[in-house]
Amino acid sequence: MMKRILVASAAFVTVAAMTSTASAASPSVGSTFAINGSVAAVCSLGNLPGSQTVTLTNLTNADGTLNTAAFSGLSLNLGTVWCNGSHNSATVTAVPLVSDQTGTFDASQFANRIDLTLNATFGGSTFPVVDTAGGPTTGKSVNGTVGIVEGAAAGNVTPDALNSLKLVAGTYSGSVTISVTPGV
Amino acid sequence: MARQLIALAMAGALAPALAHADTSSSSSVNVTYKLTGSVDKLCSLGTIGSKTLNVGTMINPSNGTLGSVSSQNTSVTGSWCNTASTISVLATPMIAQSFTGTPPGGFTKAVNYTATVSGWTAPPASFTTNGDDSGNGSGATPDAQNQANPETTTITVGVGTFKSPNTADLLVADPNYSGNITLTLAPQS
Repeated sequence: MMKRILVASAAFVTVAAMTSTASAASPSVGSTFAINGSVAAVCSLGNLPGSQTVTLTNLTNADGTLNTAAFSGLSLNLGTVWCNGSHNSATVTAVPLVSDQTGTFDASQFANRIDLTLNATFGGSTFPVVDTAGGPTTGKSVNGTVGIVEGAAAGNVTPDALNSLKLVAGTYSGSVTISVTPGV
Repeated sequence: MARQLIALAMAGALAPALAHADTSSSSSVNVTYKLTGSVDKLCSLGTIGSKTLNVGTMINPSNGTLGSVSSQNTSVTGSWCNTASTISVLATPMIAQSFTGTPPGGFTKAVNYTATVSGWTAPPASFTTNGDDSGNGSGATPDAQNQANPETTTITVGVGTFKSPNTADLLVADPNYSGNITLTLAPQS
């Protein structure tokens, strides 16, 4: 019995020490704790991030001029995309199709480059249009912004007119890139 | 007290996790479509002005030998190659079509000439027939000239410098002396 009393006394003394910073007159003591968390800004480009290769066939007509129909099926469907931030930056880049043949030719009759125009939409938001015409062979980029969004994304790539110019024989390579950087 | 300790412990665990998520969220996501295609090597002969070059009568009526024969030519417009190319020409002597057998001594049933294909290359492709009095042995190897660059232009096909196999040859009479000129335009491999 004596032991129990001693233990109880010791417990009482400890509590008194811990609450010594609170008002001694308060009948009860308490504290407020903040709980914090965050949700990172994230963007997702559907299920097709990374790099895809599209092979264009029948680039020329029988007369050697550009066959624009070769691009008719070139609609880039990115599936469902989303950004959960309100201030996301977007960059669309297009690199013209350039031939690996760089020899001399009459530029009034032939071309070894197919300029591209890229129109992209991202969940209903329209990206700035990029047209590689007049730009370097390394391509052109334009920047824009995208708000919080979820929906389908797509890109349409169309070749610029070459009028009556014939394409120089060779292998042509170019690219289009859609990039989104999430931001709160 | 126990609640206080648990709450503090949770806050301590979340801090590094959130820092990691922030870093991750600043990364861009992107998709790149690499576009490739090819354009085959092609050549096309354009519109031929005339497939027949008529040089008219060829005899010198005063002595029966080859007379003065004027040059003739025709144009092939709109020809093109989208790569380096080779143009070649091969011709056969003009031979009397109705005369059969070997012509008698001192006569010829063949007239030689030079076919020239100009406009595509410099120098032009040129072939001179060299048949005997029967038109044989003229040669079968075309003259070829290379164009290093893609080209589109008008090609001129001409014939001239008519000669009999032997200068003193008399021409056998025939309403139709005929030869062929073959023009070939092809991409270089």
